[in-house]
Amino acid sequence: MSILGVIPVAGHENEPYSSSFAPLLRQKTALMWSTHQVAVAIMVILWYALGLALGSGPFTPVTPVQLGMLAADLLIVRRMSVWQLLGLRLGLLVRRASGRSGSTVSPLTADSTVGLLDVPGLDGSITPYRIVNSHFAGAAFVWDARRGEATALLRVSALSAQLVSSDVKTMRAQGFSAALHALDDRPDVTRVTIQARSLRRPIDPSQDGAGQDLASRDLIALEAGELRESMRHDYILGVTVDPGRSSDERRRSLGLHEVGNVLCERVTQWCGTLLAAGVDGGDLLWLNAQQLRGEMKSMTDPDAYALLDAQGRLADDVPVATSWREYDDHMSVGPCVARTLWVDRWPERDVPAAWLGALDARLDLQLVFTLVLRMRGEREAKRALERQLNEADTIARFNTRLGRQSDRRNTNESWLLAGQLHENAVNGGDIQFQGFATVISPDIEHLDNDCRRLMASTAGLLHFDRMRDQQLRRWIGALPLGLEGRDA
Amino acid sequence: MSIRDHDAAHGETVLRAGSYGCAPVMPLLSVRELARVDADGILAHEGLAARLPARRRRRAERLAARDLKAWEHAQQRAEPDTHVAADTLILPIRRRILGPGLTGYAPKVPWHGASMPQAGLLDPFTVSGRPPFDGPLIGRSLLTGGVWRYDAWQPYQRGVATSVNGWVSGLMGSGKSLMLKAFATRETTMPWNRRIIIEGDPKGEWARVANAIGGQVVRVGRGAYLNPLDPGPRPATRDARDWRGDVLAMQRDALSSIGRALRPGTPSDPREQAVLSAAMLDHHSRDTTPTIAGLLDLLQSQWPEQVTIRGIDASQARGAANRLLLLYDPLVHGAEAGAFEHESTIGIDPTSPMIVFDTGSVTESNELRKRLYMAAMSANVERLCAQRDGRYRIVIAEEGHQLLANPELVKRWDWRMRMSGELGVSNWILLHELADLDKFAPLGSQTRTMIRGILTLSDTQVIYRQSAAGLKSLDGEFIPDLTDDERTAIRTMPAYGALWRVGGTIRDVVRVAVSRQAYETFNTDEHRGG
Repeated sequence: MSILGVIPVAGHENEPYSSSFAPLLRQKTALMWSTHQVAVAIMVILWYALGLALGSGPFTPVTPVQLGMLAADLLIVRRMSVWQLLGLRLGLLVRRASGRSGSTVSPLTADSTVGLLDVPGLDGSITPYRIVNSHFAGAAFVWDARRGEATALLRVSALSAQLVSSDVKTMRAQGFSAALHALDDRPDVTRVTIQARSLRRPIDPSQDGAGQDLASRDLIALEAGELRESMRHDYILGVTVDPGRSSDERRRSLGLHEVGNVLCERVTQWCGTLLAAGVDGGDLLWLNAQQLRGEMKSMTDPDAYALLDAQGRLADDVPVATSWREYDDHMSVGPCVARTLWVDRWPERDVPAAWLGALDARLDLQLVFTLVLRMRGEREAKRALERQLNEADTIARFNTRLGRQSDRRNTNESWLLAGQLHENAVNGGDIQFQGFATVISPDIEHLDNDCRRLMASTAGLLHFDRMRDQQLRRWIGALPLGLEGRDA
Repeated sequence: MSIRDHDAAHGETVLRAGSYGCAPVMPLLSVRELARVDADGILAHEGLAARLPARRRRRAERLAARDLKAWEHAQQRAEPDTHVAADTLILPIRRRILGPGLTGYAPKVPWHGASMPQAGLLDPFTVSGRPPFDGPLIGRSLLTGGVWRYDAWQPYQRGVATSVNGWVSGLMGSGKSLMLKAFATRETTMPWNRRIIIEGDPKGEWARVANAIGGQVVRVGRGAYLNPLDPGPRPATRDARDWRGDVLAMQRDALSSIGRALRPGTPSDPREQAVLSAAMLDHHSRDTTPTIAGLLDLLQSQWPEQVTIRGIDASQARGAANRLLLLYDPLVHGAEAGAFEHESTIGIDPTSPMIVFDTGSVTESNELRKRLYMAAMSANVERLCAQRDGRYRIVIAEEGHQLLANPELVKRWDWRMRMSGELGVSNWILLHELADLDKFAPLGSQTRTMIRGILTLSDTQVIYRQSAAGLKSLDGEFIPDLTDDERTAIRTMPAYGALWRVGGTIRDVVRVAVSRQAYETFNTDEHRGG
């Protein structure tokens, strides 16, 4: 996204080489000399030769100057020429004067790998996920070379649906349905992950920290006590594209550059449709590599917010590495413990629009609710639904033959499946989804308590399953990387 | 680390351990590109679209790939622990599957299905986590757990609202006064630096607050006079002609308000108004500061018969002057004397962070005096607001019902609301029970219409717990678009919690947060609990 308003990394303002500069291009033309050095040398020699041709002697007053220039030109310091050093120095001076820097988010680095994700893969191995810069103003995407999938990650805010009228809620639900329906035309979008995150973060201190009157002391006391932390609610939207599934045959075997282009196209087209679903259009940000690292770092460590700049970027020299231990039914991650629960039963009765607000709006419980959605084509959905319907009918027939009363649940399921079959025909497909709730707490006692509270607050709507021996995989899915649902 | 270590600290079995991370890889840039990125000072994607030549790019990519591999090898050598998970891959399959607890094996999670219309109900975008405004801390949102900040000018600056005015309503003891005190005092801190004016403080509760933040308390009586007709010195930035016009209007309005307080049911007639205007002009022509005592002396003299007032003759002027004498005489020779009739002995400092017009000496039973003090103080508030000195002021009418009971003050408030952009004033009114408005502004009356205008045009509405009658008044008349959820929120509002409605879109339930020390200064409920 935009690199406007770049702020120097805190604590490094006075250091001349504080930025995370890129290694310089070390391509040499002749021996150890670069093209520009060779060019300058040739020009100096031509100059000297021109003097000789015009009749001056081999040694004139200009000759020491020419020799000096040649010597300076051929000098190599730290694998750089004097001209490069001067240019670099000038660049740094101007950068210091303007306060601007943005090497790793520049579009000059489009299609370049700007980060490596060191996360365990599905089989426990290190999967070579790479963060690659796209052409979209420095925004990055996660590239899974093994599967040929690219995932764009966006941080979005929602417009509150908590006190709005039922009409507005219904309208937004319809908007979300329409957005999902739009995936029908984009078969290369393999999945969409939406992570509703409720995480604690320290508040920004007031500027009036030195006042001595009642108001200043009041604010200082609040910031150190009751209002020290605030709940942050945001959404990480992951859009995963697999060009191999594209309906356009020309796009099925593309290079990284073209994959990035397809992703840009999908993200810009599809995210616009989410505005009708309650996404705040004024706060929709496609993350770049530094912001992605910042999100990963601050997920378990509220103190890490202090390391982020105003745009949420983490400096390249701050490590993200976080230690983890996997237990039977929870994870120990950095200073926190976390447990992921799978939503194994969704509401069986009618629910109003925006009912998920009851899950998302956590006041004091850190939660990442990951919703993975994917479009299923009409034929595939029809086959699956008919198979399920046949099974339900078979059970009903058995019951009839054995003289048993019909099972109400079976009847309901048949009725529901018949309805879905009808809708599938009307809409040209259906939606498959998974839901995971990852609770993050400071210790295991709090974690158990928080999980109980979560289950109690959503009882009657959702049923959660504790996932044994799968916590690591689910935790990786809860990271802001859009990786949940990858084992589909 | 081996699989299934025993974690003594937790007394549980560790299945696996390791670390994850995200390491930056520096892109390859030439000096020329680097200098461009750093030096041009413009948006990178606007001016830096130049691409490397293909040949150089291919070479750079090869170099990058080589560097990447070298980096990966170095990482593995430096931090072998980070690849513990990778070790599991090289373990024999038998050990991985039949070993302890099927570690590493995870079945595929089944997918649920929904039709397209059903899937709309999965819309998770329901909670706004972004604080809508910047500003001093007010409290915590009871809907999201986030902190709530608010500055009176922020809604306008963010394009959420079209006015900077507000009102607070709620039952007695619901916490609205505490919230207003927290809001007002915090608005005086840097960088907001607002100036607060408290228009009427019958209980003296704001005086304590003003003293605590270095403000000024204005008290009248016992030899301390506050002349409502005193315009004060002309601000250096104001043109003399404009200032004269403003002063005349303020003095006329002050006299009208005081007159309406003394004679509630009867508005002044055009002849009385004409005589008053002529009297003020007379003072201006003599370059003297008018006082009410001086005005009565003028009206008692031969001046009404001698002065030329267009539209009325000498006898009509005499008659109007006599009626005005009867009206204003209690301020000079009657029970209400000793506060407003002479030149000011109190200097008001317009730069003070908080100015409280303390009406604490007014006994609750003397309704006439309460009305009179409110009217006279309002004239001074008008004068402060008309300074146009570049300072932003927040005027809080602590006793909103007293103000709304005087139609002249309602007009002035309405005018000030409309001029808030020009004057730099945010007007806040505090109301206890909205159903009480029926007593002095019955439905259908002109005053009622004006009050409705004031309440509906105020873009920030803070609603505490309401009585059934109050909620009925709110719903429909004063807030036409109250939703079911908002009604429920008001009915079930916890102590010190309030529904904030800002502009057409921002809605939240906020509980004010106050430190212990500030609470001791702000609290007026010490004796309420018995």
